[in-house]
Amino acid sequence: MPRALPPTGTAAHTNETVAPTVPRERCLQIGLLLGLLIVILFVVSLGTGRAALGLGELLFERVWNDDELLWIVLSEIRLPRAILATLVGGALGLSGAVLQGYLRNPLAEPGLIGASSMAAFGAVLMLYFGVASQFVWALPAGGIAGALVGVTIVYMLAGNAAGPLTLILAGVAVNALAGALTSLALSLAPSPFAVQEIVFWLLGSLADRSFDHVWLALPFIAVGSALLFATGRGLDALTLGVDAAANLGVRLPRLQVQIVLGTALAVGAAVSVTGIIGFVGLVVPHLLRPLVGNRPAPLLGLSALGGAALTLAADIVVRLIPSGLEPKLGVITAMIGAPFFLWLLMKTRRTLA
Amino acid sequence: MDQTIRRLFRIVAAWVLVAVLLAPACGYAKPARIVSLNLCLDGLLLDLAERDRIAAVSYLSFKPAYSPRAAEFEGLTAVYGLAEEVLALEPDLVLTGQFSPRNTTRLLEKFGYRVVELPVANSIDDMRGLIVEVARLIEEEEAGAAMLAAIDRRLAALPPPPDEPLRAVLYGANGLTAGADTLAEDVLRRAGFSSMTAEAGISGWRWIDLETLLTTRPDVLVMEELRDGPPSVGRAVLAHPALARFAETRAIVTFPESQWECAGPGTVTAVELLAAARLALETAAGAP
Repeated sequence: MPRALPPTGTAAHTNETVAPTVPRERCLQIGLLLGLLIVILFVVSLGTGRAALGLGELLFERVWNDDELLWIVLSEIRLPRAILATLVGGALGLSGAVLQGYLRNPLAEPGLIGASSMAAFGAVLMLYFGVASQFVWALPAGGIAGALVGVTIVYMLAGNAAGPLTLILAGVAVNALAGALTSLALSLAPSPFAVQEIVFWLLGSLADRSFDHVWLALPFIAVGSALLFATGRGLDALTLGVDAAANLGVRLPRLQVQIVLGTALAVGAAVSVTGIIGFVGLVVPHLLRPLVGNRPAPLLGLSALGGAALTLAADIVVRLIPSGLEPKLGVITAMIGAPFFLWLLMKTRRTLA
Repeated sequence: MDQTIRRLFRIVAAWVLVAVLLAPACGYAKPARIVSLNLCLDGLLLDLAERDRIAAVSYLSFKPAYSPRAAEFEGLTAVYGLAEEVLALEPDLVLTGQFSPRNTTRLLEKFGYRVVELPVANSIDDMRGLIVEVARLIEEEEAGAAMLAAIDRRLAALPPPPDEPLRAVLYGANGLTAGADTLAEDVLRRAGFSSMTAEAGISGWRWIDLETLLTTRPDVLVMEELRDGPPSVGRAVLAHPALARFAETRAIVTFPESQWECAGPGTVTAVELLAAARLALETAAGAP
C-alpha cells in the first residue's frame, strides 16, 4: 500500500485555500487540549442542574451522610446526560468532518443535508406507533434507517462532484419533506402528547435522558464512528482528485459505502435518543480546520472531540437559563450555528454564484 | 254578554292548551341541541343532561387515552371543534372551555349561536360552581343539585386528615407536575397529603425536571399508571431508572390517568382512591 500523501501534500482540486500541513505533534497537542476541555466540561456538567446542587455537595452527601436521593440525582440523571452529550456531540462533529471532507463542500453537515431530520422521522415512526415498546432496538434502528434514506437521497441528488449550492438545495428538500412527514406522523399518533413533542424531535434535548438511552445509542455510534474514522486515508487521497486517489489505491465505491453507513449509524442512533441537534457538525470542523490545515484525516478525531466539547457546553448552558421549561439543546446550537452558517455562506458566495 | 265571555274564555283556554303542548317542541323551555367542545364539559353534560339533548361532544371524549369514560360516549356525535361542523348541527347552546380555540367560538358567535365559555375548575370549590353553572345553562338545576349533594356526601365520608401529612408530589406523563391552584393539588390535599411542589412555589401545571422533582424530597410520588396509554417521549420519562431507584426507598402510588384532570364526580373518586392509598401507606409504616 502506498502512503496516502507525501508529508507536504496539498489540496489540488479543492476550492479552499491551501494551508501548510501541520506536523503530527501539533495535532496531538490540540487533541490533548480538547480532551482536557472535555474532561473539565464533563465535570462541570455533573455539577450543573436545576436542583442547584454542586458536584462537591452531591459527593459529600453520598460519602458522609449516605444520602441515597442525591446519589440518584448524580448517577441516574446527570451522569447519563453528560455521557450522552459527549457521545452524540462526538458523533455529530465526526460526521460533519467526514462529510465536508468527502463532498469537498464546506457546507456539508448531517443536519443541513437532511440526514438528521430523516433519522428523527424514522425514530418517531418507531416510537409513537408502539414498535419500540415491543422491541427496544427498533428506536435506534428507525433512526438509522431514516438517516440512511436521507444520506442516500442527498447523494443521489447531489453526488460527489456537486457544488455547494446543489447540495444545500437537496438538503433543503429532504429537510422539508422529513419535517412534514414527522409532523404528520405525530398528528396521527395515538398519544395525547405526540403533537407537543415535535419540539423535542426538531430541536433535540438531553433533559431527563437515562442510561437506557446511552445503551441504545452507544453500540451504533461506536460502530458508525469506527467506520468514519477509517475513512481518513481515503479522504486525504481524495483531496488530490478522484483519479489520483484511485492511483493511490483508494476504492471509491467502498469509501462511499463506508461514509454513508457510518454517518447513518452514528447520526441515526444519536438522533433517535436526543432529537435533532443541529449545526454541531458544521461549526466544529470549521473552527478546527485553521489549526490543523486542510487535510481531512487529522481533522476527524479532533472534530469528534470538538463536537463532544461543544455539545457538553451547550447542554450546560440550557440548564443555566432560568425558564419554566428547559430550552431545547438545539436552540443553543442553532444560535451559535446559524450565524456561523450565514458567515460561511458569505465567505463562499463567489463559488456559489 | 254572558255568551261572549264564555266564548272568549274558550278561545283563551284553547290557545293556552296549544301553547302548553307546543312549547317543548319549539324549544322554548330547555336547550335541546347542546354541543360541548371541551373534554371536561363533555363529562358533566353526559351526567346532567338527557342523552338525546346532546347534539355533539368533543372527539377527545371517545379516545380512551384522554377520557376514562370513553365507552359511555359511544353513539354520540363527535366534533373536532371546527366551526363548520358545529354550524351544521344547528345547536341552541354551545359550551366551550377557557382553552377552546378562539377562532371557532368567535365565528359561531358571529353567526348568532349561543356560545358559553366556562372557566377551568382549579379546586373542588371551583368545581361546585362549575356544576351549578352548567346545570343552570342546560336547565337541569335539580340534577345539578343532586350531583352536588352526592359529592358532598362522599367528601364528608372521607377519612380524617392525619396530624402530619405525608409529603407528596404528583408527577404525570410529559414531565408535568401539579403545583398550587390546580384541581389535582386540591385532590392531593383533601386525600391527606401535603403537596411538595406547591410548597416549593410551583403553581399551575408545569413541566418539572426529574432532579428538581426528587430534591423536593417527597415521601410519596403519585404517578400515572404506566401500563396503559400510547407511547411517547413524555410517557417514557415515567420509566426513568431514577424513579425506579427512588421507589426502592420510598413509596410510589400509581394512579389511573386523567382521573384528576376533569372536574366532576370522578374527581371525588380520585380523592377517595388517594385517601385509601394514604391509609395503606400509614398502616405499612406503623407496622413494625
